[in-house]
Amino acid sequence: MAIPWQPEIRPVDAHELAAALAEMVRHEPSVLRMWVSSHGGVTSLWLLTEDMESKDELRLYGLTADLQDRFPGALFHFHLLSPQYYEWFDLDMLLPQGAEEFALRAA
Amino acid sequence: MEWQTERHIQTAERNRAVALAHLNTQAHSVRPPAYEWAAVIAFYAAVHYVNAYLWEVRRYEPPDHQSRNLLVRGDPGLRPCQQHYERLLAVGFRARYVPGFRLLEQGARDLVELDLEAVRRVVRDALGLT
Repeated sequence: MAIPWQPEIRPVDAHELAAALAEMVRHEPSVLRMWVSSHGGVTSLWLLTEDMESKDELRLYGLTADLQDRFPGALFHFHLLSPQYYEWFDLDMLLPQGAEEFALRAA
Repeated sequence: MEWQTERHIQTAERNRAVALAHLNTQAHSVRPPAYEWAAVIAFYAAVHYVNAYLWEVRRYEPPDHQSRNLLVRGDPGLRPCQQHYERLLAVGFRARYVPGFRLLEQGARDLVELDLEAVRRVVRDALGLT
């Protein structure tokens, strides 16, 4: 039996999303830095990580479901930046113009 | 099963076969081997598996990736493969758009043989396909 349904899109402040993700990864030793950007109502979240094993990457990708639970209908992209995957690892090229660094941990 | 669902499943299976073939042959024809393109092919197999599920269960065809992402993250039936779909989405994006992004063979195999297989298994089980 089909269930008629369509997703309801709800705008959310990019910094609220970033703060929630920061809280989730605060104690992840492999996560080094974080940036947030926004374009056309879609937030992009970027985590710079150390090189990780496949299963640890998957666990981080799974956080997006938890984030979506906290912000139903919010539109966002999630990116892991790990140097192992790049022939040239240049953050200036990988991050979009205007991306803001978001503090993961208190100084 | 709805005919739209069947067509998405057929396309997903075809794309999966292309991804496996790419891993085993095509990637070796250039140097360094272009394993990252397995991520692109595998992602578009996963898209059709998810679309098959959404059509059969919800009679819904996502108009874009964002709408599909909301459902993969939020639908209880898709949740078991969400992290795998998310990695295919992210790596497929980087393979298409980011200069210098590379995958080694093992990374590409993880995407095709672990992540895509997880999406395939969850959807086929939900649809009663053996």
